[in-house]
Amino acid sequence: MKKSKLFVVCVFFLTLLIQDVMAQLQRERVVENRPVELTFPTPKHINLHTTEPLSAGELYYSIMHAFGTVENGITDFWGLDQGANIRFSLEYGITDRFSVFAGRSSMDKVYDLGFRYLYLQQMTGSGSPVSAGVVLTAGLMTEDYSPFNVSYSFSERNQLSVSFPVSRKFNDQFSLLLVPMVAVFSYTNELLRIKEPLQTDEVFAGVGFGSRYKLDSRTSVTLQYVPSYRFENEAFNHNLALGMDFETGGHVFQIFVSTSRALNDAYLLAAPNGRIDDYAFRFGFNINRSFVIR
Amino acid sequence: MRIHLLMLWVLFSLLSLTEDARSQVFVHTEGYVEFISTAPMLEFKGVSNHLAGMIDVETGEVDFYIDLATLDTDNRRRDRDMRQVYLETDRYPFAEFSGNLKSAIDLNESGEQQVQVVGIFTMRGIEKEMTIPGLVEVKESGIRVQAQWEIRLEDFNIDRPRIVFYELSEVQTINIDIILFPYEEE
Repeated sequence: MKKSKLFVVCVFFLTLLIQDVMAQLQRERVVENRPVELTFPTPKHINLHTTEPLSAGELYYSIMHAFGTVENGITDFWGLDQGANIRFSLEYGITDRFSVFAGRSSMDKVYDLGFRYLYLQQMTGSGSPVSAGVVLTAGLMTEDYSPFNVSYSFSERNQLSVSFPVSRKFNDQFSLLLVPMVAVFSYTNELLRIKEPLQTDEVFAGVGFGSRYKLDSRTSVTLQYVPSYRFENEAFNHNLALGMDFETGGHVFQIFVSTSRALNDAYLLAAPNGRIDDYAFRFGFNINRSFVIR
Repeated sequence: MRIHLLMLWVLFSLLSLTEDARSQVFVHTEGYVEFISTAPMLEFKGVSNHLAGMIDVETGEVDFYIDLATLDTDNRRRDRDMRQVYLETDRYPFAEFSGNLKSAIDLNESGEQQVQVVGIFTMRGIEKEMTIPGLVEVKESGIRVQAQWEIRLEDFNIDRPRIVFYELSEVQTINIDIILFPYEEE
């Protein structure tokens, strides 16, 4: 009796086996461990460099604007009448990890050249938990100071900045960015717009902090905070910006209010920042677009 | 003792039945699949050579799937957007179709045979019943399967941007071409 019971059980399982031989293929991913992509939607997060690489042959174009302060209200339409500091830049991907860029900011007429290299890539599975890169920018200030009866030589107009963006995408919604950065100016004085009264520091350092939280597939809330340390004054300068990213499937629009008028790296650390409690915020927006030109 | 022998015999014949069933199963995991997006300003296609497919000629069962992250549109920026924004391949890795043949495939007939399959197409966790016409050709090495059908992005909750014109068609044409080989147990 026992044996026949066993027999029935065997037949039952074998029948199951036959029916289940190939009814469906086992679902398997071709590559399990993939790079984490679109931690931030563009190479710039408000003003900070991100670790978002360009592909080889990809050309990225951005126009950044920062208007006057909002404190005068409708008189100057919350700063928009004061005109904007505008930075145009082009960045081109030479490899999937290395890109070069050139930009021009209207504030102090600064031209800059630089590169961005991604040396660490966050992976979905095992591998690095963060992405990390390095960005080096050399700038030349070309403002004409002859109306002030002063002139600066070429060697007095140079700036160099280096930043080390590190980012992590925690989940589909939340990404975080930390950017230790240093900027060196060949010469500063009160006429240059990086100054605060009696401020003649030439070396500045800070840690940029950026984050974004996705509200839906195309809209994110963004934050930027950059405490900057001045070596001689031993004082901190705080840049704070709050914004929104809108991804339109081609362009990425970043709209924000910021305490700084600065748009390039060196000025972001060195330029004065408005006090939040004085309504010294400014409106600003970036338009980002990339093309694959190869 | 008699029961014991009978049991062995039944087990043995069941196993050989399994073998028979398997010889009617055709599979392959490196088939070709493409999607074509035809918008007024731009036509582009995404291709992959990782289509996995299975047809059980005996039971008429059909099963296909593709790892969507393997699709290549020849533009890495677009690929990245496709994976992360439109298809969300980390969350929904596969597009799959499981169904049944409406009429049997004749393994003895050379030349092309028209077939139809009825089943469920699943993408981004959304299931949609579909009837797909296909072309089957029995070859010496296996069965070649070709099929073409269309899907609407809206049906799979893929939102196309509306603010700025974007060169992505609402209707996507899917083509597959795969040779399925007889399944052999390792």
